[in-house]
Amino acid sequence: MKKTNILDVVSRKLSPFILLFGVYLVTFGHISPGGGFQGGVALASGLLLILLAQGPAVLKRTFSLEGISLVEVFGYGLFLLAGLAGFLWGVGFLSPILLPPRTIFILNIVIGAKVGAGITLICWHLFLEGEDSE
Amino acid sequence: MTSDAILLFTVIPLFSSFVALIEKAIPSLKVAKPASLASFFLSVLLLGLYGGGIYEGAVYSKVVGGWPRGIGIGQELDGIAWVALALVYLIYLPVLLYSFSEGGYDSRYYFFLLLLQGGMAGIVLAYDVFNLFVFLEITGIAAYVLIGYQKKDRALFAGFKYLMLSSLGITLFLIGVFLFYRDTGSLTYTELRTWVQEGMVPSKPITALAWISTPFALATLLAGIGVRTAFLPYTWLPDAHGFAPHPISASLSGVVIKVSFLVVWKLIVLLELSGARQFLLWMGSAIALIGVLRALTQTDVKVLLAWHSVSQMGYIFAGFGAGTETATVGALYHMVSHAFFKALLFLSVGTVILFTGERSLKRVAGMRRMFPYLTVLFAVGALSIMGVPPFVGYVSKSLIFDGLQDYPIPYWLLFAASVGTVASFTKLSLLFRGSPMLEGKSTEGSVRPRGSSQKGSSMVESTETTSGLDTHPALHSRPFRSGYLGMSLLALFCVLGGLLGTYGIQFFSTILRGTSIPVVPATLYGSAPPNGSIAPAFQESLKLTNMAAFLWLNGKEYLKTIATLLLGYGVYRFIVSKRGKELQAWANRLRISFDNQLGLLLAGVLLLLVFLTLQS
Amino acid sequence: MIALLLIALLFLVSLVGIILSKNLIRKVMALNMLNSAVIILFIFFGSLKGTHAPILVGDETDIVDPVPQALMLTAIVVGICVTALALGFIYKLYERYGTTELQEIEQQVHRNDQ
Repeated sequence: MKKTNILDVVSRKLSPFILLFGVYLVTFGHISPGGGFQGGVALASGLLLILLAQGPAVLKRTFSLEGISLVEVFGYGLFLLAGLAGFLWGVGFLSPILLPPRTIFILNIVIGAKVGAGITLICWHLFLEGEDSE
Repeated sequence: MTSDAILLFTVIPLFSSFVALIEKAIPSLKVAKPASLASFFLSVLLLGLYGGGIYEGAVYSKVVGGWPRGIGIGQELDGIAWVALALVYLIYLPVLLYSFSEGGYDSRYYFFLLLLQGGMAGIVLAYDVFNLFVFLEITGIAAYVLIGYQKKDRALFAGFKYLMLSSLGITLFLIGVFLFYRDTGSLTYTELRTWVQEGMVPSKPITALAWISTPFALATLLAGIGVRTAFLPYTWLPDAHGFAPHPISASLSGVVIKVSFLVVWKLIVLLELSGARQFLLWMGSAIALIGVLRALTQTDVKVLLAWHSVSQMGYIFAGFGAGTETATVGALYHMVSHAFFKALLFLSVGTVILFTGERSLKRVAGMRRMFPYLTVLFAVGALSIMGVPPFVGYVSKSLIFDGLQDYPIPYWLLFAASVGTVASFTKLSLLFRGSPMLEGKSTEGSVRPRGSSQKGSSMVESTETTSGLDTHPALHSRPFRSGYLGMSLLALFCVLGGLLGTYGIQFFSTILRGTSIPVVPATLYGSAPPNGSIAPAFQESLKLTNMAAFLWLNGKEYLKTIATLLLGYGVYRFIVSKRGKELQAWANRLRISFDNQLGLLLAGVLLLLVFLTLQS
Repeated sequence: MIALLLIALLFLVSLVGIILSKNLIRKVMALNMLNSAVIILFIFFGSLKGTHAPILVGDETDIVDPVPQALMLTAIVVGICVTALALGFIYKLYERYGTTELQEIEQQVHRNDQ
């Protein structure tokens, strides 16, 4: 596919801002609209802009595919552990420990990372003729 | 026993699925299989710890996060939930053992299998409608992926159709939730009960936006779950269960459809919807007969078994719909017994397909000499589904028939379905007992009997393989120990469930005491109920007099079983005759296209709505 | 009232789309639209209760109903997963059968059966 200059320049300049916006949504999710899932999707769209406009090689150079897979897998575990931490602290599964926003804050970050990684991988496989994954 | 730990029923499988996922990321750590086994043992341990309390009628509930009830997500473990969980795990172990033997399943398979178990645990424990939605979807997604796991074309198409129908259903479910939430502002089952009791009063005026009325919400709610339990419509089930991998077919037919039905059960009982019960009664009897008729025309062995799943679910629906105490206990018992024998049948037939590579009755038959032990296992399953004593199918079917005494038309429809079942399984047993045939060619005389020890012996005999068999490309060459162990367990359950019938009936009626279903009159089959703890009741039922009283001296049911067997054999002779074969070919060409199936779902919702509005 | 009519229109169009579409991809798109209709329904009726975002900063009391928003967040996630899975299925079916038209696939399946 023949790229135009506009696509090339805009995608390279714009995607870091999209990623930054995603991080903002995730970290401020407990006091303004946003949160784990929403921020995660924004992060994924930043990465996917690079994938679609620049091609898979460029994406692999900046974020390795194995790294994204690891984030996806261990994000799941971290979420469960965060819940179990509440259990061990004696207040039941997924209870707020320390100050009330703390658990939600941690959970937001974990979910944001996992969802970002997950959706990037899903779209990676769908766009590049691989097999389906969750 | 504390209430806090009931959350672990969902957390243990989910955590084990995470461990399985680690193997996907770091392939050198082979932790997926041990994790799935560990999940089984931990969950069964937990189940046992709660067993005593549940038998005494206790109900455990817990809200996640320590929030007050009604605000937080709540989970509740009562009698029916306990039975459902026990069933889930009893079927999970053989399925897991079979997956270990079959091989070819990587860590992602075990991840989704564990996700399936966790989702089902969540479904039965859910206490509000939205929690139910979440776990229904988790189970659904795991099921779609597992159906299409081996990426065979028919399986992919079947999985896709199931996905679309299920998603349409769950969207209708959400609309029902919306109507409920809008009126009451709450989502729990208790609130649902109050809302329904007020809304079903006939004198309530229908507002200008008439679709706000309660029956519509209930119809959509029930229909949404109903798709997954195969009553409206049931058309996705034969392809989905027929083309899934063998252990997944067993799990799906065995527990996934039952668990969804148990939710419908809980809702109908809680909300006292007699209209929905009538609907289930009539739909159930019709489905039972239609399922058998379609099964009679099939030549693909797994699709045949899947149509029988449809039919047997019809028995369960009719039993539950009848509303009498006997029939209700019978429906619960049949859920359990069907899980056992259907899983056994799917796994044993699957083994034949695995080792010979053929699935059609036209191309493979007479495998009894190649698989002698497997023939025994299959026979246990087939005799159970035909309702022959002393297997478990006899107990549950007689209970249902006994309870349907007051409803003649469903009674005779189910009787016809039983006759058809016998005919169909006599035909299916040709897989083992007919004249040997492989790839459509007869191999009479060239099949050597296998060695005496079946368990632990590998498939490929050394140099003495015969012509036609050693050139077959699909022969497995690995030992199948765990697979046979799993199937033997299921066969054992089938036998035990039948022999200990008296105990089973008392157990289920005591468990159901926790809900609002009245107890079965205990002198039903001739023995007085011991009350109190489990051990004396168990010892009572082991006495030979009690077993005999139940199985052999109940003359009417016994006669009916013999009549069914004779008539069934007659039908079988008809369908293998020339006329019969022509009829089969014609019937096979009738099919419902996918678009029409989607339309059937909507038609079913409207029908259910009619029944609900017209209830007394 | 207008909002209700629009949501109902979106719902009916998607429903018709799911049932009558000949192409599998259109069916999945219609399913997505159906999900969106239900989500908008929930959020709209939740928003009628107040004017501010449902975050308790300070003494805000005039907030919209937070429960539908939480529920619909879950529903959106589920919808995305199901859509991704459905598209994956369609892709594999396309590889096997060479088409995404429903009737052609059904015919091929039927022919393979005979």
